Amino acid sequence: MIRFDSLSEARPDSIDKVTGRAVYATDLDIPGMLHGHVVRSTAVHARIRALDVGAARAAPGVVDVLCGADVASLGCWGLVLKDRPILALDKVRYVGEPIAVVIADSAEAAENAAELVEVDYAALPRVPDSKAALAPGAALVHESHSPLEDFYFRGGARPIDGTNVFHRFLSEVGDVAAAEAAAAHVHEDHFSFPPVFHYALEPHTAIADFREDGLTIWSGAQSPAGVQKVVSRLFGLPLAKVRIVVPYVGGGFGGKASVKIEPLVAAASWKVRRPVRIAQSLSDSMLTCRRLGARITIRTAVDREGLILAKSADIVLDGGAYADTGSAVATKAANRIIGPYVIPNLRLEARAVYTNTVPGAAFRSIGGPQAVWAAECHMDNVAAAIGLSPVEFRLRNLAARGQRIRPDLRPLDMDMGELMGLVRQAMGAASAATGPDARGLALAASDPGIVAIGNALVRLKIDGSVLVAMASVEIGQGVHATMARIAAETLNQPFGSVTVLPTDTGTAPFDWGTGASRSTVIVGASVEAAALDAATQMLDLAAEALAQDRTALALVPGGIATPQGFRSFHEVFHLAYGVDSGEVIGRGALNPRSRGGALREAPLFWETAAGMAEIDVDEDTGAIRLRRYASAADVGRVINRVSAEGQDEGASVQGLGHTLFEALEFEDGQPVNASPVDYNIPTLDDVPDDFHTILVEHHDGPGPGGAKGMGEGAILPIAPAIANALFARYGVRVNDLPLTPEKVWRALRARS
Amino acid sequence: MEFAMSLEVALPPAALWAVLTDVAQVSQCIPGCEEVEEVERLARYTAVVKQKIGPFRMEVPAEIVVEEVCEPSLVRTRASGRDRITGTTLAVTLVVTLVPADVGSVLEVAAVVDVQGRLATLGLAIIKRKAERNFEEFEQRLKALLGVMA
Repeated sequence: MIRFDSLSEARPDSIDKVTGRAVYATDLDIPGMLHGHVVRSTAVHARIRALDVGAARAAPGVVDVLCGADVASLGCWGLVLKDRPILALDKVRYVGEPIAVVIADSAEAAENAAELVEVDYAALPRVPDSKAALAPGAALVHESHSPLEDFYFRGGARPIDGTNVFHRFLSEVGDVAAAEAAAAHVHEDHFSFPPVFHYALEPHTAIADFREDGLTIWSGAQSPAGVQKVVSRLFGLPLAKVRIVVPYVGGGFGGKASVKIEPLVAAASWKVRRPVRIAQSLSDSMLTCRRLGARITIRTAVDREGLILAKSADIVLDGGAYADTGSAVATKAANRIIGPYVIPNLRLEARAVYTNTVPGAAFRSIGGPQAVWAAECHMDNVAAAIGLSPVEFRLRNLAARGQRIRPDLRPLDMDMGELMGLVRQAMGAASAATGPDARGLALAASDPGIVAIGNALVRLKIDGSVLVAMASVEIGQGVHATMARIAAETLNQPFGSVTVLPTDTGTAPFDWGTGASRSTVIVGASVEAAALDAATQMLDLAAEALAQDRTALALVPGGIATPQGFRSFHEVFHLAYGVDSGEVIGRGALNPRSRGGALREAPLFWETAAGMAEIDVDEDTGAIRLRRYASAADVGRVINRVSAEGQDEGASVQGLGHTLFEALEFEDGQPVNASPVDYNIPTLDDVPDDFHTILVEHHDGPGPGGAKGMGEGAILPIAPAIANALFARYGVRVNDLPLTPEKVWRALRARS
Repeated sequence: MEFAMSLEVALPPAALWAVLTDVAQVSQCIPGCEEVEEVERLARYTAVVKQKIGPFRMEVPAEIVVEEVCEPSLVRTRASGRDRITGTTLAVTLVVTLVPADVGSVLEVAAVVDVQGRLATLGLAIIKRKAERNFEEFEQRLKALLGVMA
């Protein structure tokens, strides 16, 4: 029987981090290593008429320059569409697209020489945003589409030939038109959500070492197996000859998921046959990827009792110049816009389109923040239009535990009414300062896109120490400590006896990647299974060596409890093998066939969140301050409370960023604020004085001890909760994020 | 980046047209515009645009092509060039329209400014403010030239 004490023990990674010993990709020095600097497109959309790297190649310290022509024969890569060359070949599709890599014996020499690269562009008609992308006769960012199937996710992109649409998803349930015709009230709204930068403190950095006998890449990658697969296909290398090592990662949030700069760094090393490091600046990373912006039309039909009869949504996502995993973002946005409600008729359409801007990418709860922003603001608008309070309107329409919100999705495994009640309870009575009205509520139910394939090895050593090998990336969320705890509890050994090996595809078995709130559930269950396998082997060995009945034995710290007393692992191995040496190796594997196929239905669990905000508004400036906030999530089981609360708070505050401050802006395709100087994120001053995190535990999830995944849900409700507070207090609705002082001030002025 | 201005001038369109097509004189209204040379009257010109943007100095040899002329009511010109040091390209399309009014004419100027390259990548926001200031100054100088009270 597994038990968790839920008490926090110091995470080994936190000690490394606060003492400065933690090693990130940028800290590594590989013998013979050279440094690459990426020359980027300064044109929005253009043919490359000429590329002159002669002066750069002749510059002091420069070893070589990698150009598009060098890698043209390797072809394109991608995760859902094979749309991306390693370096721009004949044309550039966005400002920031890599055109060349100057490789030198120092980063400074490479950077200085990069200035000497001359590019002659012939401008092409631009597709600056998603509206332009869909306009009749729009220029095409890509002339044709090459979708992949079941390559990274199950399924694939569904592009529309001859257009900029690289994925269209449509889900229809019932008859929306008939329901609207019969409805007492139909309400439509339009919302927008800007592109947002992930702003991990560690920019993208990778080192590649291409040798005769294989390729090693050190990178802050969230999906080592994805990187391994893509570079193995690009360079024609067997998977076993491609090793991806991931040291500590300074934040990812999806911005380091799938594959980013690794093919480029590998190509640089392939050219010079020496290790090459590319360490991007934060500004470079702002030109590498960002969240997909969205334009959303949403319409709801209700009857006289305020019951929702139908909902339709038309979601257009700005996917940037290359698809990355934008198709999945679009599909998830359509799923996540439903909300935790009973809606008999649905029409959900999402399109992801190419534009001449920085490529879109996964970002914490893909498609969720965009969808829930529209869905939950719209809920309050509908409630107001039919004269119900936001709480009452939601209560009348909430789906109960066990109900399906769409026939093809697993029934809800939580009680949303409970979460809503908990945040309202946590907020208590309104502060006198803000008055009773400046509060807003929002709910979210999201379907994590989990690929249920996980593996782990757990090795129980003769001295009772334990080694765990698995591929989840320690990205700041504390996953290594979580895995150590699961192994320790399952083997009944002290937490401190477990060492989790650094992530390395050379030593860890296959895992899909770190994202979609999957690690605790899928990899955690694999570690648990591996530890159980090791325990079984150890007890079998002891039963045989000690000539004991197997059922009379139990694992205890450092050894075996027998009816005759304690026997150390040393003694057992010595008796069994004749020498004082050995270990048992447990293997745990999870896949869609495991547990009688119970993991196959999507989603594996529901990631849920309720949020309630209380705000102050400076009526003279329009500035909003989040005074108090409560966030609740049903996480099944808390394994490390400090880390779990940190994930919830972190997700909320990251959401506060896109609510009040953040937008990666483009003007006619040209990035306007792609630098840490111009791009604003929340600081400690912006965090609410009063923040409640409520983690509900019913021990009913598919992970160890009934855990569900968490860490993404809390980013969802905060923006609509704050906007709903503004609406409740002043009756003004701002439809596009962020809620800057200027927009709020103008809205307040327009009202009066 | 788009800019627009509109002002009423006491001169009738034909007289205003004569003033505005005196390129040497009008170009003095453009901040930083120097060394204007006529290649072909009302067709092609060259100039050097000098600007200080934040800590950067830009010097853009520009080619000016008159794309459309409809005397005395419309002229559309396109100026483009590239700063060698920062690799920044600049393109300005200027549409000047003269509409007869009860007294004199209404002069409308619409400009579309496009900046690409390192400077744009570093901070288009700064460039935008600079462009706004330049356009305001252009408006002031033009008003002064035409004797319009600001």
